[in-house]
Amino acid sequence: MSVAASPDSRNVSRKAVRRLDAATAAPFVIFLIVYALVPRFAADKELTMLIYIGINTMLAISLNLLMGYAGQVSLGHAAFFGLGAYTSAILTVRPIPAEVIPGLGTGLGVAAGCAVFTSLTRASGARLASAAAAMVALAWGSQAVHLHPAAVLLISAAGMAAFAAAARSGALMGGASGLTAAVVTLLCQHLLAGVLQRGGASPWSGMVAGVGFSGLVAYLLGGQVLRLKGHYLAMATLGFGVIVEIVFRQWTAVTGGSSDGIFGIPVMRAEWLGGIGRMTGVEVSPRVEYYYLVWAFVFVCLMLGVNIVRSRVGRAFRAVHGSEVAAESLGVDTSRYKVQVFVLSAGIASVAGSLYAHQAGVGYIHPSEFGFGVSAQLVVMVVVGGMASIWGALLGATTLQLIKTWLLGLEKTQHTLFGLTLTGLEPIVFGAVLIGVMIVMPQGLVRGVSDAAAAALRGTRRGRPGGSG
Amino acid sequence: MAALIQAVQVTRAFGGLVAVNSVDFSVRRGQMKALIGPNGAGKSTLLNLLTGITPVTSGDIIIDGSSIRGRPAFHAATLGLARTFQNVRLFENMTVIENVMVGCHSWTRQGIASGALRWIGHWREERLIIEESHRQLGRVGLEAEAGADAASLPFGKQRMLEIARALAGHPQVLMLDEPASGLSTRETAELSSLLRQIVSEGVTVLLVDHDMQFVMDISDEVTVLDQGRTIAEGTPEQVQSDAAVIAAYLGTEPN
Repeated sequence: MSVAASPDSRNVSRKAVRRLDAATAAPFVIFLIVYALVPRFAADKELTMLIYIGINTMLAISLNLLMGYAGQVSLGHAAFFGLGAYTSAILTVRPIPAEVIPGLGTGLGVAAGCAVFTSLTRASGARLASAAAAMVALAWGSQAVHLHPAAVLLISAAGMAAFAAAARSGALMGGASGLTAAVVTLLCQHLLAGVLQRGGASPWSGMVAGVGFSGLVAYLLGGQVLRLKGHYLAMATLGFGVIVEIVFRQWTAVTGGSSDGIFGIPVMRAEWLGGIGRMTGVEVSPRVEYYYLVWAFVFVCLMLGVNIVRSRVGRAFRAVHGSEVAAESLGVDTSRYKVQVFVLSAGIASVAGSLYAHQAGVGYIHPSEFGFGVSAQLVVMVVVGGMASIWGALLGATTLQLIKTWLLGLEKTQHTLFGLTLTGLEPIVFGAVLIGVMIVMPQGLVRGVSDAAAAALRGTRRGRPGGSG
Repeated sequence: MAALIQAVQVTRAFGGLVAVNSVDFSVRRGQMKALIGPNGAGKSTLLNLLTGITPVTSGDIIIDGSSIRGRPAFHAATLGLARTFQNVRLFENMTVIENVMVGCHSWTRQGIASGALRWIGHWREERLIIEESHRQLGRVGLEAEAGADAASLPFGKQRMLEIARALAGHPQVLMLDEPASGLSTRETAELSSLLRQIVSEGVTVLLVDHDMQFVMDISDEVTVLDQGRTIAEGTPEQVQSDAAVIAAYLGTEPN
């Protein structure tokens, strides 16, 4: 069946691949130049705004991968933003009490063990549950009797192998997952005991923990809710977002609740990135450094996004959007890819959350910053920039931030208009913008403007200005 | 000769309606087989059962020696089964060539990290995918439209694109659900010659249609379904002269 392609077509395809990548690389070069030079021309006020734009761009990219490309609507995306922010804020602000460390270590170890177990044996349901129970028992038991770490590893592996043999699912795989669980448990206990007890983790490890936690939540949630389609999925994610916000508000002992929030969050440092500023001759203040940090992450997200959507897995995401039945008929495991894009999206949102929490000169988060209003704004950003457009995320986030800043200024300087008190305009204007964009350019700003430009260009070439070709 | 696809006593009920009623059906390797029957005979349902999109109520479906009962729908594709749909299901959010590139999914392996970080494996595989996709597009005469949006193609070309997409997965069997419906006479002739070429390359073809003329011209063997049951099976000539088939299509003769 597979006839070798002629050398000619091979050449063509090789060129096509290269040309495509050259075309997509160009905007990144421009991006980097602008990125390096901005602090020369921007004051603190603009830099603060740019930091917000950067964080929102990351959120919009993450939601666009999920919604614009894979077609899975989420009205609760701010929850993952919040989980990232809260996880790294909590871990960095408070020393972890010694008594929870064994439990936390065991939990993480068992989670890792289960992940290995499922990926090796594709077990689910009762088998997975009993394997997890076995791992908990082994991890907890071996800890209680204070064995040598090597003995713990051996016992765990042997125990899991015996369990797997009994459950007829491959003793070797059971042993491997048991061993992983044991290793991760021991590692976590040592690390946690060493690092966290001394007055909080570093923001960077907080960010990593946040991604891990958000990813785990997304994995567990996604496996269930992504079976739903359309409006039902929107409702389920909306509910999830509301629940997470309530947890932030009510679980006062951990999150500080809605009256206090969390204070004194340390700043995430990246001195080496500040070096870019020094090269361009700028005095590197903490804010300049943070600007470079955030936009370095934005750059990475843009690049990963652009690469993913033009890859095998990215095409699978888009195929799920186009037609799940057709995608399945071509061998695309749609439920797996839906969970994958959900976890990826949650992970990026979580990184944005950590960046938000550890900002220079803020050091404070509050539940209201991660509520439904934020989720709704993210959807508007994605739609305004353009569904299924990575660069559109940047444009959407920028546009909305500019509108927001302008509105705040308006509310401050002009208190009334035609007798109407100017407060809380934001949702109204955003709603209007959403409706306007949907009507005028349903494909979003990027596609809309480029299509209009292309049409105008074709028109002038044919000597018919404005011709619609 | 062993059957490549075998349906054993397959039944599918939707509520009280039994769309397919204990049907035995098989397709041999290398065959061009047709499944015909009047409207509502259960042809499309049987095809959906064979490809695992609809689960069977009872019975079993065996593809190349392994059962697909209780497996997710994508599993059939990994066993070498590809299909097209009665009402063309393209990925309208993608270009023509990207549609075919998705078709290459089942024989490619690169994961998300490889694509995101552009590892060497990504490049190697991407090149193979693009070559294969161009080859399949060339075969159905869509090379020139490779960069166009799939949704912008006229209907006949959309059908051809769907076939190219299915073939990009290097299937053992290609199943086509009413491929000739909505096609002009010229397009139908092109389709016939394409299908003959595909069979000559060693791909087994299963054709579901109610256009008797088109089916009879190109099939090796025909199975006729009526009201969820098999009523006849044999060569096109045998089937055409079968009394039960004539009755099902034209109704029994008055008086």
